[in-house]
Amino acid sequence: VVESEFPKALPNADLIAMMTKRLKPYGYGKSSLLCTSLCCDEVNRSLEIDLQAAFGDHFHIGGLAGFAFGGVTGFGAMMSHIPDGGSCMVVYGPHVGVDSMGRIGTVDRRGREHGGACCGSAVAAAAYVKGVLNGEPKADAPTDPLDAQQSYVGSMLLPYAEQISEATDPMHELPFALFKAQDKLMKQIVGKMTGKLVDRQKIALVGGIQINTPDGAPDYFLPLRFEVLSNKGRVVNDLLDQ
Amino acid sequence: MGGLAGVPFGGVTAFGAMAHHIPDSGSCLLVYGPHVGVNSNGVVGTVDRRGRCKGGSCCGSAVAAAAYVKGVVQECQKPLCPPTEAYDAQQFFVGNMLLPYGKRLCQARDPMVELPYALYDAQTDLIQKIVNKGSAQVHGDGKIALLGGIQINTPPGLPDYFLPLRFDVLDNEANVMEKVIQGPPRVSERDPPDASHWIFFSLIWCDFAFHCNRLPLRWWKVNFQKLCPMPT
Repeated sequence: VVESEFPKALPNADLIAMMTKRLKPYGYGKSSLLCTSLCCDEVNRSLEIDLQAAFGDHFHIGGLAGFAFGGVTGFGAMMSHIPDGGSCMVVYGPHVGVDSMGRIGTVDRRGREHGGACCGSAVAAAAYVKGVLNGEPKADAPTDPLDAQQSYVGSMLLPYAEQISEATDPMHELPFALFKAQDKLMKQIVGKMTGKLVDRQKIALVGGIQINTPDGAPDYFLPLRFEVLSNKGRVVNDLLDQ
Repeated sequence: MGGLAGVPFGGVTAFGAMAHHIPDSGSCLLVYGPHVGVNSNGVVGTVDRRGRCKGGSCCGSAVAAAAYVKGVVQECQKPLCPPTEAYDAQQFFVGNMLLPYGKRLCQARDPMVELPYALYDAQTDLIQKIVNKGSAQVHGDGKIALLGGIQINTPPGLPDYFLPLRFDVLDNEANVMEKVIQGPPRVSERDPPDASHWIFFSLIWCDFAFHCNRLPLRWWKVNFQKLCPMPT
């Protein structure tokens, strides 16, 4: 199902091998810092564990659905932790489950007879944007942190409401729409922070969709952006299709 | 479900999602709290970092929020309005949550030591609100264990520490079933006393020392200083 529905998705091990090989010419190695922006759902920790084994401890700026809610402050703090003269790589994106029956948008969960939505936050946000598309009122911007993240997930998904509702399989379309929203937020954050690095330091952006699978099968990552940026935010090289 | 400074920004939605992932008939354990670094020179609020000559703030978000709070409390700066966009919303909320503790931070002997305690209190309030709203999502006889405290980051080669300030087991109606530990006194009780308290405690100390003079004086001084630090 993963190979037919998400062509070009790579098992996590292949993703890490590709990142290591393609980033090496840009000086990535011991002086690099890994940053992740992945959803807080525990099914996403396996990718982080694999990435950490290859690149060391990570700085995390992700929140619900994988949005980079650590924001400008989180990204700035991460940049100030890069080893002297080194560069950073940011792995980000939403996730979607595929269960043992091949259904997209749900996943088998440890110790549970019934799995459930995956990503749950994304599915709830999709219901919200569908409601707004059908004439229900938009929610106000949050004023306290009690459930602010979910409110932001919904508002950032709103521009993609039609794209999701018109799709043959909304559960398949949802992570692609979420990726667009998260990519936009990531560019907004990076755009505000690029001047903080010195000349030879770089920012590698590895964005895509994480695909969670049943126990015993590898998880996958579908890369949709793989770029190396200069310290000024200019794209030095697009590594996605190399 | 944590974000900048350890605040549980995943909120009610994340807690509910987590509750729905608990294995059937199982329970959950929620570990939360801010962090603070202690570098190899013993400076609190900073930490040695891999590959860097200069470490830097730790926790950086907390130190930035404390500067914001100081500006509002001591320099009469106008508090920020809630953000309409997400790109730096978390830091706004960290600063806003810390505002009620501004006076305490400004009056502390060492604000870098006080900061994680104030953040812990702010986070505990938010955790309580989240658990009150989301506890029913834990099914059956499932329990919610809450372990809150301060994570202490140390230089490479040394163990990191966690100072537990609260360890409670709750049912799925957010009632405390058991307090596994009795946390240390609230920070407000550890604040430097004013001069009248100082005289009062000094008298007690003199009396106590007179009757207990078989113990080394240094022991009393050290422990008394812990109980009742000199006003600054």
